[in-house]
Order: sequence, then structure tokens, then C-alpha cells
Amino acid sequence: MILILSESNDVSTDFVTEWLQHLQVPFKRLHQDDLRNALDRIVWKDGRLEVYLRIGETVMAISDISRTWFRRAYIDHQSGFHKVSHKGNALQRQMNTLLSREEKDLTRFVAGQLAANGALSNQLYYQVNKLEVLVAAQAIGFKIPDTIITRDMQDIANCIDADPEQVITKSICDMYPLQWDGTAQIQPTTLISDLPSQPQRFYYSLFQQKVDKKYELRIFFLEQQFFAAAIFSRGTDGRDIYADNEQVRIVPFRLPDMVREKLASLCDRIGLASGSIDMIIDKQDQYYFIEVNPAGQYGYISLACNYHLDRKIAEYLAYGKLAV
Amino acid sequence: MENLLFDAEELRELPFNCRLYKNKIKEHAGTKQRKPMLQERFVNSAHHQNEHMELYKGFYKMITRIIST
Repeated sequence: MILILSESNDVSTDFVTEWLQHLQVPFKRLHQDDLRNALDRIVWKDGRLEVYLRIGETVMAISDISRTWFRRAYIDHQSGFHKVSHKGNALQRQMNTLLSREEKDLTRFVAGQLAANGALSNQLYYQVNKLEVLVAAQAIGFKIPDTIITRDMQDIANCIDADPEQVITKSICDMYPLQWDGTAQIQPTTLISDLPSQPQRFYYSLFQQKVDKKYELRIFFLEQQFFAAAIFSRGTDGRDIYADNEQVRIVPFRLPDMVREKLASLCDRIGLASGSIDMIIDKQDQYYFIEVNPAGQYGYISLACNYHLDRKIAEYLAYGKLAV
Repeated sequence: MENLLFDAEELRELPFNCRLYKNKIKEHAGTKQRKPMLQERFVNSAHHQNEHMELYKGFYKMITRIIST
């Protein structure tokens, strides 16, 4: 039995499950709503550990799951204490903290057990620290754009040797949708000159030199195999087809051996078996490492480049290895 | 500054790109939502799970169910 923890509207998961059906491999697909308090019990008996999950009315042992695909959904645990306790006093707040600590450890353990049993990706690594990854990429030999994290606009000009009009800002962590007034706003990579106003003081923010790109690379990787696509676009973010007001061109790209080896080394160092890497090639053909997304979207790369990644992922889940 | 959802004091404590602007919201309000990248043949396939989609507060929302083989 393969367990898939996915978002309900993730089309890539749909394609993979189609392939699993074709391969006649049994699977169970669960969404975020199914995963709250999914743990039924953990039992150590006669030195043997077994973790049981409860999905609806069904209880299943983790040992019966051959492989888990962590695809953007989380197992998590949360007591209903905060719903039934309305004291609003210091004791209640402390109890919430106590529960939160217990739940965090429990979740970490269950996710770890699923991962140890054989998994593609891991919810514990859905978010990587972008700053640590930049340090690792540079240590391996990749160029990274000049970057500054500051609270003061004046520092940007002093640090980044670029036209002030060519400085971008992006989140230090992943984007977070701010929902307000019936709409939502995320924090995409943006030229600072495109923002309506530019205050002199603000909270810690990341600014980066905008690389004068020839094209961008989006590279999906799975168990040391790399599937790269070159994206030709004028937008700040190559995937933003609306910035160009025209269709972006995406073509398969063969990575130089040296770059592939460095990327393999980077994946090892940050402990990721799967994910998507963003790079930029500048006008001098230099490779800049931008970031890695452990649970990024790969469907558009697969489709544009005929990589059939859905099939490869399904085969990996079914057989534990990639067909060459 | 009257367009900002946050006052100057609040803005000093927010990341540079993490601010909501009323004018920006109004700009996008009511614009046509992109259709999800979903092909017709998958909507009705037995294993796709998307029983139907509805327009929810201006967004397409997909209703799904657990499936297993």
C-alpha cells in the first residue's frame, strides 16, 4: 500500500495516481482534512514498535505502508482543548504551549516513522531554510546573487553593486497568502522599484541583485536524477507568464556534468531526495543558484519537456527506484 | 499613505514586500479568475476526485473526497 499525502487540488497527484492505477499498485490518497489527529496509537510491545494511523473508520499500521509520498500535505495533531477552554487566563495559555510542544514532538515522530519506512520527500523538509541553502550552494561552488537582509533602505545601495532599479525583494521563508477582503496576496519576487512606495525603515527583509539573465533553469530532481528546463522570459520570475504578456518558452535543457555533480552534492548536503531547483544563467553563461523548493510544482516542466515525471514518480513509489 | 492597510508605525515592523495595499486589492478585485489547469477529461474521471468545482468568493474551489484502490 502506498500512502499519498496531498493537497486536494494538486493536479500532479492526479496524474501520479492515474499511473499507479495503470501499474495496478494499491494506494490511498489523503488530503489535509484527513490528516488532523491521524495517529491512532503508538505501541511498543515485546520490543517491537508499531504506529497505527486512523483514516476515517480504518486503522492501518505504518508497517503495512510500503512507501509514503509527502506531497504538500501535513500529518498534524491538535488537541481540542483550545476550543473547550475559555478561561483566557495564564494557565490556559501555558497549557496551550504545553500541548503545542507535545503535539510537535508527536507529529515529528509519526512523520519520521513514515519516512523511515520508505518515502518520497518528507513533511519535515517541506520548508528548507533558504539562507542555509544559499550558504551550502556557495560552499559547493555556485555563484549566488549579491544578497542583503536589512531593516534599512540605505544599506541596500551600499551592499548591492547594481542599479537600484535592478534590485529584487523576496520572502526569507516561503510565500504566505494574506487573505483580506475576499482576495489574497502573496509575496512574489518583486523589483523594489515596482512597489508603490519604498519606506526607509522596515522589518528584516531580503534584497537581492537581479541577475541579468539569459534564461532561467527549473530543475526537478529525484534520487540524483535531474530533469532541467530552460525558461525564456523577460519577467522577474520566469514562471510569471503575465509579466511578459506572452507565452513563456520552456525547453528541455541538458545540464553540464560539472553543474549536475555540484547539484547532487548540494542535495546530499541539505538532505533532499526530491525537489525543484531554480537557477539563472547570466549573459556571460555563469550559473547562479537561486533557491530550492522541496515540494515545488513540476507539472509544467514535465509537460513542456516531455519528461513524464508523473510516471517516473509513480514507478518510484511502486518499485522504490527510477527506471533509467 | 491613506491607501495602506497599515499605518506608518506598523509598516516599520513589517517586511518590505509583505504589505497589503488597498489600491492593489481594488486593482485586482473582480478580475476574471484563471481557470485551474484542469482538463475536462480529468474532471469526470473516477480517480480524479474532483466531484465539482464552484466559484467561492471569486476563487475556484475544488471539492474532493478520499479515494483508494
